[in-house]
Amino acid sequence: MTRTTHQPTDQEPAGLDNRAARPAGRRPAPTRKRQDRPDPVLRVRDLVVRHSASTGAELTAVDGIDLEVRAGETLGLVGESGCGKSSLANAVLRLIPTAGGSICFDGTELVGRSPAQMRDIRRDLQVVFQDPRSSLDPRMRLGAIVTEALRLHGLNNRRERRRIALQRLAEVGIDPALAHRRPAQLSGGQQQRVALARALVTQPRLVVLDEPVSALDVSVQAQVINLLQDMQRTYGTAYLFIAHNLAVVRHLSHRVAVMYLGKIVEQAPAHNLFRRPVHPYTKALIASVLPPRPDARARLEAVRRLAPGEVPSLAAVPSGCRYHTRCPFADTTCKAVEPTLVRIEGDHAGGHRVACHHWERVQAAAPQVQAR
Amino acid sequence: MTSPRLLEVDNLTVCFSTSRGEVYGTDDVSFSLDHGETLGVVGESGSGKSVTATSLIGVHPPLTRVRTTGSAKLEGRDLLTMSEQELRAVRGAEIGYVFQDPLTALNPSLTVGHHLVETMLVHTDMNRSAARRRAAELLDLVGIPNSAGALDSYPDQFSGGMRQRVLVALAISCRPKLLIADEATTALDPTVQSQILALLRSLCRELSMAMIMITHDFGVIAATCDRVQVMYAGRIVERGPVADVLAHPGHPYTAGLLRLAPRFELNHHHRLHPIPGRAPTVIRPQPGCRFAPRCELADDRCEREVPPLSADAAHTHACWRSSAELAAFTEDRTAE
Amino acid sequence: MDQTPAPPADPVPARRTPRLRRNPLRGRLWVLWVAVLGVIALWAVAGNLLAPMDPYAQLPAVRLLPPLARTEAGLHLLGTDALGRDLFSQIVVASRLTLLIGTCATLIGLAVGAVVGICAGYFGGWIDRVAMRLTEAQTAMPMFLFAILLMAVAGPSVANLIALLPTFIWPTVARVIRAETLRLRTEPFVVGAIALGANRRQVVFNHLLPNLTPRLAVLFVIDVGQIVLAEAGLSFLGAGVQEPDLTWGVLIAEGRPYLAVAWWLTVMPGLALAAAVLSVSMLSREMERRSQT
Repeated sequence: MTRTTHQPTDQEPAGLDNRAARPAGRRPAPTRKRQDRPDPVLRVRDLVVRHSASTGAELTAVDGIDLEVRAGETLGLVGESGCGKSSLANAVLRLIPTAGGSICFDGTELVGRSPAQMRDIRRDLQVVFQDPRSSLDPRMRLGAIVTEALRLHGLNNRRERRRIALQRLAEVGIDPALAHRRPAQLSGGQQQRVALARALVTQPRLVVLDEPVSALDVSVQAQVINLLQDMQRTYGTAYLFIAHNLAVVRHLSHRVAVMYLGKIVEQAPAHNLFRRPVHPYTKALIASVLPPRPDARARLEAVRRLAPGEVPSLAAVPSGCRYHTRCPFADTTCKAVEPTLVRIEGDHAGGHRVACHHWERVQAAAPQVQAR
Repeated sequence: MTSPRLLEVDNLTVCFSTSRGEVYGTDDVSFSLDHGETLGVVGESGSGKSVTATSLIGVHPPLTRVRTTGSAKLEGRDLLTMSEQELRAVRGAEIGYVFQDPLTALNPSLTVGHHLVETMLVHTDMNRSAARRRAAELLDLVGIPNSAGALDSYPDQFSGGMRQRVLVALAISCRPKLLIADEATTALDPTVQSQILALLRSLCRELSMAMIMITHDFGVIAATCDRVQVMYAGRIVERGPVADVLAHPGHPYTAGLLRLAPRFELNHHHRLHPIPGRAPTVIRPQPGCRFAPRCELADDRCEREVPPLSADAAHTHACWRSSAELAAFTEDRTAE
Repeated sequence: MDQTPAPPADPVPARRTPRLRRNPLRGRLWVLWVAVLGVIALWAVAGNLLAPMDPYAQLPAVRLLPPLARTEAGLHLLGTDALGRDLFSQIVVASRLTLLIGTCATLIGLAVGAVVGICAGYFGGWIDRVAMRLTEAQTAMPMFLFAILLMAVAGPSVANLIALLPTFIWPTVARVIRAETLRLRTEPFVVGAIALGANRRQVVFNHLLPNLTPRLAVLFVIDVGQIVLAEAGLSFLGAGVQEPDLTWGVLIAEGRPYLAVAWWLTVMPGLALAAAVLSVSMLSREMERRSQT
């Protein structure tokens, strides 16, 4: 299991003094709790999210999804536009209503909680959005932005908050001298660093990262990815990392789930998924990451064979296996019967699971577009 | 040389007058392109890669005062000194342009057929019914199913990938000699991006069209281009055949970008080695190499003198450091 | 690493063309606007002491004198009106009531409109529907006639005027603020605040209001002019400020019959009004610029 790789153990984080500064007795120190209880931070069961389209029809963006994110690990959630990954994220954050299923966070059921009841939980469940420019209040100063969560939850006094703000800014690589500046004066990369500092200030158990680097330049993307990794090592925070590009996900994720049209089609430990992708769609996604090598041309051809055409609209979800309209391996079974996610390898929790009727045949026949 | 090259850009400098003084879009950029050749232009935002292309078709962001010096000759005729009217005849007819955002590049209140037919009526002497027939053929060519029906659809009835196909059809509708794809696949989903790239490549071959592919992604270049030039802060820092540049980058910036490119063979938790700092967003005149402030190999000379880019060599780069020094440094970094 | 400064400013002069010449006044013009507002505020506070002459002293012999005319009473800076009263002194004295009615009525109108607009935009549902029908109903009414009627019933007084004038502006304010709130509500930073654990009150006060203030400042500048003009109109019809009380609106209204023979009677109070509104507008823009740097 990969999740133990970056458990914060004895190189204890410098920022822990802040956690200790929390009102005593409200909650036991989470580091200890994590070792006592191997339960996942987040367990999503059979989650359904529906949107009403402008035409009045109901679209099912997330259609019965099971997920687990364990303490301190990163679950990468990959899929193209319209696959429901952002709906899933917003549902987990309880920013949009769910139509069914359960979301169990840190042992607490979130579905059915009122907004007021959610507020306490939000301290441990944070988010970083895609567009750093619009996710920071343009009229607030950086220092206030970073410590907003502390203020909202009535933690620490003003002086402590100022100290924490400066410390946290320094930690994410922003000169604390900039604390009185406003977001518009920063570059996109710096803004995303501030957004991350804000999300981590209460030392949450889980941060949902919704395409956090897609809006950044290549060289800055790498800086922010490294920072996300450092912060996870320091605070032991679990990440639900959402992206459309597998190349970005692979550096951070311990496990990866691939979504297609509201369903998970494949889920596996990261190294398994990239070395031995099973589902034709996963293979296509991996092939679509173009390496700066002459074999990039061959990959275009591989994608064309494995994922021709486009993702069907949510308003007309195909019968049976949702991928059958694009799949080169599809037959009549695929058109009629929806495959379930079955474990093909490994133990119950960390195993490699795939939703495909013909996965054995696919693995034998499909072109080896390995993620070499 | 008897027949002029398709495109010859010499010392192109684009300067914007802003309320905070003059800033450069590109600074002394020279390159050329042969008929049927595909050239990749790589750079981050603000590197001047798009400005280079937009100045070829004489389109600049609104509300700016622009001063352009140098020359950009399309088959011997200088695009920079053309009147607006002459330029309009070149745009669309001789140079096709595919923009990044397929959502805003099409007028939502006009049908796809209308876009295509009008473009052809302006630039060719086809009549309306011939143009309509040709429009249907074009949609077939770019892989839009049911092309006859698609002509009467509106842009927002299409998905992003289909809209980008329509834009490609629009750009090639008058059989241009040069197609400029400006981050044309950046906004698309990965699998759709691959399809569009494959389409662009095959179109270039079939119509023997030259292409300038502008992108920030070396993978896209590797998949589609013959030659590549890397831009940083308004200048070209490296140029050469794609395979050669990918295998032996000569400029530290190129090497840095390539270091960041996806390499699945490594442990997925290996640390990335980003280029420190960030590219300047505003380019002002400055002595020395523009990359020096971020370069881990820079010395005094880099700060003082602009390294030249040789005009003749097939693979050339603008850097004072020797290739051996760079190779040693890169090896160091990758070994970590 | 990200904050590595951009390459240092150029030590050698620009190569090709000199930079655009900068306007030396640029960025310092705000001093002028502060001065204008300061003078008007001073008039409003101590007009009686600052006026060079008694604004009510009638000198029938010197009627409708042009600006800079000299009589035995002294220099009439802006001339005299139809009853021979010194116009400049009248403007100085009138500024108090003008500012009082203008700012109070505008602020009340803005407050009402903002509350209605924020509630409609943020809570939506039936609150939104009721609020929007209300603004439509109000907009559909012939407000000016209605105002005259009300003032006739309630009696023309400054207090009644301040209570009535906001009805002229709140519907527009409410609509603008509602639209802006609807936009802000979906901005990631507002959604993010909710995800951080902010309740409705905190979202409204920490994020919506600060981001609505630039919009409110613009509305204030637009509406203060509108309010003063409405007040002038009512006063002209005898349903507003009554003599001997003076406002710039009253002065404009009184001067209107003489526009052909004595332009200064309408133009000068009008200029005072324009100067005040312009100064507020320019200052709010300056403040907006500074808050962003």
